This record gives sequence, C-alpha cells and structure tokens, in this order.
Amino acid sequence: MTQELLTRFRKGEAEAFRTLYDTYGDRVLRLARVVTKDDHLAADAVQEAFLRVYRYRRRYDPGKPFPVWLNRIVVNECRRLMGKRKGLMLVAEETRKEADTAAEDTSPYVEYQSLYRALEDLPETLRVPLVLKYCNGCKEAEIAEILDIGVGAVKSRLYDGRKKLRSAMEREAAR
Amino acid sequence: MKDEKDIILAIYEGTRGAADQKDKVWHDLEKRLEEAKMKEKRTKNRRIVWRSLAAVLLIGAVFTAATPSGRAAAGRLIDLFEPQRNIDYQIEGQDENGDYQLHTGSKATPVPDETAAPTPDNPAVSYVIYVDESRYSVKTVDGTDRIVPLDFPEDLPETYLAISQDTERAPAEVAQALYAELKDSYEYAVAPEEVTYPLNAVHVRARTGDEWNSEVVAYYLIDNTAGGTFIAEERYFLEAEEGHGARFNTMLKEFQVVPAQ
Repeated sequence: MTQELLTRFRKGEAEAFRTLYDTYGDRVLRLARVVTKDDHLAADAVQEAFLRVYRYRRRYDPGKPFPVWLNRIVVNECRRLMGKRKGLMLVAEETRKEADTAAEDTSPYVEYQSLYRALEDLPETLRVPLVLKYCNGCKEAEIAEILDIGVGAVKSRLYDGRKKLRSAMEREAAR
Repeated sequence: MKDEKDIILAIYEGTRGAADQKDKVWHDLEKRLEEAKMKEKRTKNRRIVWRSLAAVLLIGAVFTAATPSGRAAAGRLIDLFEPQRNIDYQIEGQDENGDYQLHTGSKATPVPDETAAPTPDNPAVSYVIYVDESRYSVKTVDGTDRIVPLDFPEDLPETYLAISQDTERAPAEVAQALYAELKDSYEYAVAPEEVTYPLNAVHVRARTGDEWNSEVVAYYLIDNTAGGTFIAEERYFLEAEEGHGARFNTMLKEFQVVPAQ
C-alpha cells in the first residue's frame, strides 16, 4: 500500500478507491461473514462500510495503517446492521445451518467445514479476533485498536478462542 | 486441529460464499457512490451560496441591530439560512451524518413594534441553531428554549440543551456567577475557561459525582455581540456524555447570533 495511493484516495480519486476495494474487498467480506454469520448481511455491511470510507476519506489519518481503519469500520457496520436486523438473524441462522448441512455431504473439505462451524459457534468476542489475525493478517496491537480493547484482552481472547476450537474438534473426532 | 494453518483454511473455506460476492458488491457500491458524489457536489455548492450570503448580511445586520432603525432595516435575515443542513459528526468514535433542521430563538419571532428599543423581553439579537429532529424536539419552558430528547425515560436524570439570553451581563461575568453557584451545589466544578469547541465561548461545567447517573451540567456562555450573553446550558448524566453530550455539542457548533426580527 503506497502513500501515494492513499493520498490519491483522500483526494477522492475513483481509481484509487477502486484499487483499495480490489485489495481489501475479499478480506473484509470474509471478516464480515464471520461477524454476521450471513452472506447477504456481510455484503450489505461491506457496501455500507466502503461508502463510509469514501464519505469520510478526509478523516483517515495517513499516519495509520489503512486496513486497521477499514476493518474497524467494517466491524462496526456489521454490528449496526445486526442490531437493525436482530429479528431476522434467527431466520438467517436457521437457513445457514440448513445450507451448511446440505453442502456437507458433497464438499471435499468436510474437516474444514466442521472447524469453521466450531468457529462460528464461538461468541463474537472470540471469533472476531481469530479472523482478524488468521484471515486478515492483523497484529495483536492492530486488533486491539480495531476492537477498541487492550492488547492483553486480545491475547487472552485469541488463546481462549484457539483452546475452544481445539476442544470442539477433539469432541468431533471422538464421535 | 493440526495447527493454525487449519484455522486459516477453515476460514477461507467457510467464507468463500461471502468472498464470491466481491464483484456484485462493487457493482452496487459503484451506483451508490455516484449518487453520493452528486449529493456531495450539490450540498457543497448550496452551502457555499448560503454561507456567503449569510456571512455578508450577518456582519452588517448585527452591527445595526442595536438601533431601532437598524432593526427595522435588518429584515428577515433568518430567511437566508438554509432550512436543513447535512452535518457530519462523531458519536462514541463513530462517524455519523444526518440532516438537521433550522430553528430560531423563540424571541426571534416578529415583535409588534419593530422599531422599539431592545429590552430583556424584546432583545436586539437572537440566534439560529440546527436541531436533529429525528432525536430531539424544541420546547419553550419558563421562557427558555429547550432541546429535549424524544421518548426520554422518566427515571433518568433530566437531559436537555437550553438556550437563554442575559442582555445585561458579558459572558465572563455570567460565568463567574454560575461558577460560584455550582461550587456550592456540585461535588466537582471546573472554573470558567475559554473554549473554541463546539464554539467560541466561556465554558463552566460541574457534576454531582462519578456514578453512571451522576448529573452533569455544562454551560457555554456566548457573546451576543450587543453587550450581553447567550447561555447554552447542557444537562445530562455521566454515561450520556458521549451520546447526548456529544449530540448537543454538534448542534451548538451550528449556533449563530442573528438580529431579532
């Protein structure tokens, strides 16, 4: 990520904004999916988040890493939309579970599907730090800034998250 | 689970459906971005026109407002303010944006005799402010304008932004008098200080304690340009500091002194 690209983005250049979307769109869609547990809601959250990024581009501090700013906006947008659609989430959850079960028999990645389900079953406080670290490549200090918590809390959440995933997978294997 | 690599692969596998929407999200985003750019351009142009007109007339009008003939000549300056303003602000670290509606001080309504000399009940100057009507309503309580939250629970400490005018005393004098009162009745009181946010004013604040529901009072004493003071009084409870407190400040940021009509 060059400083020149970020400067062009702050000036409102469409091409620079598109480059940022091309670079980070995939990762934040995955992050949004883990937070919301719903593909459609994830897409809506990312769309809203990028609109905010564009609208408030002048407030971006070029001295700070762009992904930290973006991830923070995406997580907040997911939470806002989830709050708005609380009632619908129960339906979405059921639909997801049905879809996952249907796909399970045919996918060559059964092991990873079980692990992913175990990840989605973790509370948000544990699963979001895990996806930020392992999917989005964030450092612990960056995760702390994105989630507005201390680095110590990030470390313990990552530890607890991994431990719970391990237990879930051991239980799965013992079946 | 073999190692951390498995977590990465599981996330990639489990979120593939979401990532596959990347092109569609961009397609929809591009359309909304165009709309946002158009709106941004329109708002910017409108704001430049309104502000230039208002600034030019405000300077002359406020200076002439203290005399009866000046007041008669000032006309309806308030008509020059845009009826609605789109405002960017931050609440609890989050960027927000909303449409705020123009309100004039209740004493800015036309008085029977426009050429009469200014009095406390018929002051030379009034004000305009932009109010977030999706969250607040404007009332007049005991002759004072109050911006109060909509559907506010009765069991919480009183929360409002009140604006009144002292036509006799300057901001520093009002500040000292208020500070003397607050020191006696509040656990913590901060001595008067000049501030530039949310607007240029003398600021005095106090609170009853450190509990979530401790009462907070914050005064902003604004020069009314005619030898007196506009008193903006914010009341809320400690936990609402970054909510209602920040929203009151966003509204105060748009406060402007105008000649009374």
